[in-house]
Amino acid sequence: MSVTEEHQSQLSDKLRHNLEKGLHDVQARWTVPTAFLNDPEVHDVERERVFGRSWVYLAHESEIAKPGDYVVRYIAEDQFIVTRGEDGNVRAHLNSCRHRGMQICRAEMGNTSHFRCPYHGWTYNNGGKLVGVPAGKEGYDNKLEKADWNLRSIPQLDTYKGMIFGCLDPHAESLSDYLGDFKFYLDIVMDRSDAGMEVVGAPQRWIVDANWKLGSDNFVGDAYHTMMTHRSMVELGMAPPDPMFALYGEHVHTEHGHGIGIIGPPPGIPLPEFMGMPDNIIDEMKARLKPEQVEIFRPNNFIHGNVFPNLSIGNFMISKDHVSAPTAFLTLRLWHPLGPGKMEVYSFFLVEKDAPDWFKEEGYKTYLHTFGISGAFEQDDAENWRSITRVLAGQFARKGDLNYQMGRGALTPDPDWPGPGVAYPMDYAEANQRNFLEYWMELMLEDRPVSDKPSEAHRSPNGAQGNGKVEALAGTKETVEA
Amino acid sequence: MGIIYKAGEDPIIQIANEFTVVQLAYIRTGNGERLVVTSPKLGFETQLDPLQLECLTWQPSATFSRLLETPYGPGSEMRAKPLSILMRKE
Repeated sequence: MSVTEEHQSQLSDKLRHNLEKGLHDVQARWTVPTAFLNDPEVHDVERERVFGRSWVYLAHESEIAKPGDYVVRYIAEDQFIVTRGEDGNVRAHLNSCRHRGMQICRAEMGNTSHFRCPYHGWTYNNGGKLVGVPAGKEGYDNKLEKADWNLRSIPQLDTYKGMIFGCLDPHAESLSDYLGDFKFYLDIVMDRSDAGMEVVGAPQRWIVDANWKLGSDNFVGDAYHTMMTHRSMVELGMAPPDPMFALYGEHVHTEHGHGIGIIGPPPGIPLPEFMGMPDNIIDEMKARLKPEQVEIFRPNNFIHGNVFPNLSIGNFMISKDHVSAPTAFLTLRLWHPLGPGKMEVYSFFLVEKDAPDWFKEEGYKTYLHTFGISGAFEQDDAENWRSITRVLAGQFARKGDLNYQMGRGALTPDPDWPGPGVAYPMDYAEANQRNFLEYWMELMLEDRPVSDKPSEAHRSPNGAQGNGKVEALAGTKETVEA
Repeated sequence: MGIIYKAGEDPIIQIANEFTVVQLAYIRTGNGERLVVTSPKLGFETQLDPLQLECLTWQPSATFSRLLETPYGPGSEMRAKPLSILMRKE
């Protein structure tokens, strides 16, 4: 059985009907069935059809900066050791010994040149090659074909501007094509500095009893909720003194479900250009980015977005408390599904490596106070998502519709927007959310034809940047086909 | 990394990851000095002089992979014996 056939899980008639109805409704009526947010079958299918086909964010190169550094990261239930080899190349090995399947790494970060399985001691170098087995003479007469039993490589691995993504589908298009026009917007956030970005510390992680799509839905386009959910932040003086501050932005989406909101200062409330970034970063950014990217970034104070399926971006200029000046910081957030009604959140703080220390320090504190595990904004959001997930578990609740009609009949695309994608001139809109869910439904419905040939796209990683090359499909023949 | 201090002895450096732990200690020999590398989990110990340590600095990663062909130390010299020879015969 080929990989593709294996991934052809059948949809129940009920789910197929809901998805077909949902796809019609989101396009024609701008509504979405409630059935997708807390349903065990939806979760089972989306693990294969969404997470099994998309490029999923694994780690940032700075998290594995030195040879031997590794972190363990997930795509649905598959775990990968994302590591930098002694040769400097980034690889992702399935975290499972070829002998009995034992987890090789049980610490989720560390440094090693070789991995030794805790069960029987099979030992692999950090390139994934099996180098030793205990009692090799007695047990195997030194005839074990070690080269056939290397760690299994992730089918596709590539990086974009320091971000490492993996894909379980060997036939999927390249990362560069998958990100497509959204790279224009990712660059504005991730490519401002000559030295690149670094993740500071380990990610904060916590489990929320909520469906992962609610995190993506919120970050991809929901500026509207800030007026109610985060109103106390305005009252406390941590957000601009206008409850509708998030209205004043551009609402943009591209293909493959990606989307972003870029918000400027409310009328009459002057805020510094370029989010008050340090001068050296502004100078580098002006040299690195295209003029239209620089102009998009100049007047903005809040950027929220989502790379389909589950990587969210928050680049915000807010205050860490009611007496501090607003400071810009960048967080990446990964909504890792653990079940239909449960996700693990990975929250990363990133900063330009060559930013001055005061900026790194102030940004980190602001991040912790607002979007860290106990941050004020974070807790506002998580309570909503948990509550939605809980109430939509009901058998009657699952048969309803949700309203995604903001802007219907009122909002038309902005003809003057200098960037790619479909842009609306106001961030109180739900086009990005519909775009996200529409692509999600298309993937869920798509019965992919069986093909024996991998696409050409994955053979030449073309978005690779950073300190080292990436390697996928580097294992044995068996590994590639497995 | 940890440093273990014992009264009257030189400190021991302990270096570990999730796979194993080793301890490094400095000893004076009759006319010189060596580094003692100990594996508390496997019970091996070696004393390396400056030349031995120096030659480690130019070893490629593959050298260590070769050394790890026997992940728990050198293989047994003994031939395996069937349990049946220990059984009582009629």
